[in-house]
Amino acid sequence: MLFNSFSFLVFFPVVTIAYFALPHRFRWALLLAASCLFYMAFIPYYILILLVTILIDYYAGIKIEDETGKRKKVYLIVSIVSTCLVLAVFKYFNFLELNVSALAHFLHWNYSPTLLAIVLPIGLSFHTFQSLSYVIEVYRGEQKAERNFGIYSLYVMFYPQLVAGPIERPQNLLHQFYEKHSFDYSRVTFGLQRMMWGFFKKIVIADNLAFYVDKVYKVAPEYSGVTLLTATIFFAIQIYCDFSGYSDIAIGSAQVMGFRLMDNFKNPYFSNSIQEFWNRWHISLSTWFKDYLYIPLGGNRVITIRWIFNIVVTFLISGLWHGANWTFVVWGLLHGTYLAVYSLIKKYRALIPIPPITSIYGKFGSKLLTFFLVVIAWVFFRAPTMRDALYIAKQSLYGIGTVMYSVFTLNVQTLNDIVSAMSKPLPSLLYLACYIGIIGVFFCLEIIDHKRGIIPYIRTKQTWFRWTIYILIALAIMNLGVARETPFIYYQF
Amino acid sequence: MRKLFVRCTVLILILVLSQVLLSRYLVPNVPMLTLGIPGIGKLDTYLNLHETYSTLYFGDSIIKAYAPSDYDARSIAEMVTAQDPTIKIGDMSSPGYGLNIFEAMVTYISHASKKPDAIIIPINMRSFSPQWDMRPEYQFEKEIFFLTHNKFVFYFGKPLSIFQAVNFESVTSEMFRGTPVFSGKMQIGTVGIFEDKARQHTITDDIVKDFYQYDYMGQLDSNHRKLLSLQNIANMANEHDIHLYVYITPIDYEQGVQYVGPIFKQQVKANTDVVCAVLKKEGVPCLNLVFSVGSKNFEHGLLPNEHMKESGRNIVADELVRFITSQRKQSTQGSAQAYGVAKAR
Repeated sequence: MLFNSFSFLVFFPVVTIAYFALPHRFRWALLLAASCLFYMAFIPYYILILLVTILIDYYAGIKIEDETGKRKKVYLIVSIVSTCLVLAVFKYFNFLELNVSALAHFLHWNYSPTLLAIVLPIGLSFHTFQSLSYVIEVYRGEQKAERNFGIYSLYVMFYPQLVAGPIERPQNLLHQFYEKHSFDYSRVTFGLQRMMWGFFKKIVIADNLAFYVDKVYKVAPEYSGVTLLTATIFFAIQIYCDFSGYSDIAIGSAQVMGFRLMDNFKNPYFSNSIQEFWNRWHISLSTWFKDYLYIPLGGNRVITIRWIFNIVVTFLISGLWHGANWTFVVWGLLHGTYLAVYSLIKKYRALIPIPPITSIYGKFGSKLLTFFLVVIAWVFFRAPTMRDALYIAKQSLYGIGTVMYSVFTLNVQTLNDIVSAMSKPLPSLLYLACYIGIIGVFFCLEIIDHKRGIIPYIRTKQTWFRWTIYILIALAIMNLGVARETPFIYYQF
Repeated sequence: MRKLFVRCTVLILILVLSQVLLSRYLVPNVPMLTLGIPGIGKLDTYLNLHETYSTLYFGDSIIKAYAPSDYDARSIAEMVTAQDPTIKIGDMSSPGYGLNIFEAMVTYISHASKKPDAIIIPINMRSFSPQWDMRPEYQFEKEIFFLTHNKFVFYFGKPLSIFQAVNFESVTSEMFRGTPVFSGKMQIGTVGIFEDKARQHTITDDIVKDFYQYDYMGQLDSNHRKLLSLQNIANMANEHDIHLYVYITPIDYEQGVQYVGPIFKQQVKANTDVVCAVLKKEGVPCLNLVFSVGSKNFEHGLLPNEHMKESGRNIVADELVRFITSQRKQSTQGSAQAYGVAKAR
């Protein structure tokens, strides 16, 4: 079930009202049933796959807690391997086969790949990581094994975060299923407002930008320079609004029922460095990789070469986690390289006599540079093939050159050319004006959100102002979206 | 909880009211907000001005002038009215329109308080081919939703479609490309193969031949969904006493025969017979103009379509005026005979 669907608009209030109407002891069962229904709206029998991983990790969790020494480790390894095996079969098998086949072809060996004609279960990477997080925490002794199978199942399947996170830790979520949540008007309205903000970002901003991005990226070689740069910048905003919009709806809908999910985004495009970006972007995943991969590899408490290796490997696997395609691997590698270079500069900065960036222009410049680096990496995330990605990246760099030239020389003709290139995929200049308007509104709201938090800010205003804002946002959601099914980008992971 | 319930109810009521007001007064002037169906709005105008537009002319792009060489850029509708000013036409034609949306228009008209006296319906034989029938942008689902639902529901069409409560994209691009293409009863490929051929840099004779088959030569079945729409149109028109003047539009059959051979004409003839048989069954006369216009009167590029030069449009307009006049005479005679019988009794 998509959050931005009519089914969810019916499902959510029905489940929430039933949740508060039921006695506390039955609530987990209601949430579990609702979560099953939510998941089965996609491909019903895929719930069996989920059930298998839940059973394995539930049993493994208890055994890990009960056993000691080597046997404890064996149960952990069995649990991790079997959970990852499901992910490997559904997500990476075909990718592996195609690459083996390409290698065999290169070596003039005769090898025909066996490809599985299967659809990737929705949100597989997310709930797999949430399950892994549970068994690892039990192994480390940071979390007691959950003995109630229903509650454990709900931990993996809790519908607000089932298909695209935030990837929760057992210490944060499991105990909340035992807590009694009473109806709190302030908390409920806060949750609803957060959901509304999420819908606005997804439907009004992300879906409209997707029209431009999809059109350009579908036939990228037909476009050049500024058009491709525009599409990539639009994609940067699209994916942020799409995913953070999803997270806001997820966190908001959980909050309405009294559950606290971790924040996933903190205005990442206002980051001053790539390191800061990763502290603000998809926080639940980046902290997962930090806790369960980067630190176990040694983190930064090793020699410099090993440290750089740890960073790059972590990001490479993060890239592969997103999708079984070399483009995602390159995306991860690019971010790994950015961070490695940044970390090295930071480490050896004391040796170089450069004053710290404190001026407003300096901060703006570092924000712009971080954004530019992230945008270039997004090319590899969005492009369907490596060939397209390389073409778009090259053309986007030309595009940046063109824009900078026209800005510094104030050449009217070049500025005209830029506007005409930007509007090339659109029916008219009016549409481009609308896009610029949408992005303008987005950045204004992001600035407010960055400074004060958009919802707390609105909540401090007078009633008439708040209601006007609510009505305008709701009407924008109802009228400015795209009249077709537009799944969230991260659903495919 | 009660406080929240009351506030939510108030908010929903305000939103409903705002949406109605917005859809009624603001949306028609702001194309970005609409479902993108400005052309349909003309129908209300024509129905309200019933005396000025007593006959509605449905149709696709071939009604209009496209040839750059045309001195006379009038549409067929304008030519008909010029020849016979008593045929007061409201032009509802638009590119890609076919019997599916015509059916919705007649449904809308059947619920309207003011109805036209007659409707002219051109049937384009290419509209039965998968390249037209299955083309996603020719499904006109938004228009059909508007025409077949209460206006109040339509005001919420956009939000309903955003949240996928109604689907305006029932035919996806993948479905379209995967649709089989037939010549006669034999499958000769899928839409995707033919669409890719149209994008090639050099259009060879073989591609032109393929396109004559793709466009016109699939064996037409009387259960084709567009023919079922035609039957429904005939029934509704009959029920509401609206005259139907149905004609089959000309195609460049001479070039078709040149590229495909005599079998082209035979297959097209067989298909038009199916259309006329359906009309006959419903008691609607069929004016078959499919072979009435020679190659020199068409204006299309290398690949076939039915756009005509002014000479071609004039031929159609002449035939149509003759047809309407004769139908009117028959109708008057019929009425007089019926009056005579009644008087004698």
